[in-house]
Amino acid sequence: MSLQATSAVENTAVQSTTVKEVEVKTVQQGIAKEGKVAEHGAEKESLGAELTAKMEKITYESIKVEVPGFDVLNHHVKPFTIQFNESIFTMWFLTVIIIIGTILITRKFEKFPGKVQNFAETIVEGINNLAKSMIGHNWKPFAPYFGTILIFLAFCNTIGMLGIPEFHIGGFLFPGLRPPTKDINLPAALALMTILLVIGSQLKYKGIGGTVKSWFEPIPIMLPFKLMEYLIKPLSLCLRLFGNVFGAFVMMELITIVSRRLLLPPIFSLYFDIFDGLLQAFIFTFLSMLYIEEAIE
Amino acid sequence: MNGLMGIAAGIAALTGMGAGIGIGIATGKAAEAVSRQPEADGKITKNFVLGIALAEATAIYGLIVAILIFTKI
Repeated sequence: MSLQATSAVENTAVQSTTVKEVEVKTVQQGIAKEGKVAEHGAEKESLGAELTAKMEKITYESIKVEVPGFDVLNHHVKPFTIQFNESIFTMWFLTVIIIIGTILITRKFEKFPGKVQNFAETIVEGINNLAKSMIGHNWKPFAPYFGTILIFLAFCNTIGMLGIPEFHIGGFLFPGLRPPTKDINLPAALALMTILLVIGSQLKYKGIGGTVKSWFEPIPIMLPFKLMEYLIKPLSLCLRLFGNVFGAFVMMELITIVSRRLLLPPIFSLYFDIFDGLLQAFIFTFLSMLYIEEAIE
Repeated sequence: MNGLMGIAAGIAALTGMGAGIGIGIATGKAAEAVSRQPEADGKITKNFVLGIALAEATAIYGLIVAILIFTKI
């Protein structure tokens, strides 16, 4: 077993070296090509496009951090890499923006509210009322979580309308601000958090006996469907958010390519970025609340 | 082969049709209900948003299947 494993490791090592050689070859070829093109002095635009595409590929894949780890199968220390992609950077940026914004808004609260305090109170009241009307009289522990999700998703889905492209700082190419929810991993993580919250609150408010009893609730034949719901609920939540945001993103890219000079993108951005993004953030929160209500009633 | 896969992805994206019909019916009924009973506006809006979210899911599944076909999975 261990012999096989080591041979596999050697194989992968050989493969990786060959891959490196191939990469070096392609880079050399690319350099030769560029030299030729520069000699001819033609096809400047296509060269530029090619170069930017190459730069994107290189820098997006090269943001890796090596973390020391232990390989359990082969019993030796082996570093593994964590890859940071575009959506993680956008999420960090948004998180910093939201934290600074909330600190600035909630800093000076007084007895007689000013404009800023009124704004903050309106948001909190709205979220509390939504939770109250959806979840019922046990709304209080759930409202902050859903408020956080709602605000975060609202920022995530609408960040694409700013249209900030990639920019260079000190040789690094930083990704532009595109909605991080168009990467399927963020909606999947949020949906998993929601279903864990549903299961946890069901166990807490109903107890284990009540939970098992609720599987047989209207008729005992419902048992497989009730169990399947634990899988289907997060799947549909995740796919709904991802599909909507990704579809809107692709549509906006196509519209931008086709009709950039006609000033059409801002008009369509009103629907695809603002309306659809905010609606999807609301629907995600709304359905999560509905599942919670179903679980704890 | 690529052309055939493109056609398959296009057929998978036809699920949007059903979602469109469903959302249209839901919107019409919601408008009808609000005009019949304007004071039940909040409840109707809630059910309407829930309904269109569920109807829209079919179109999204079509999109996902189209993406999966096109990325050769």
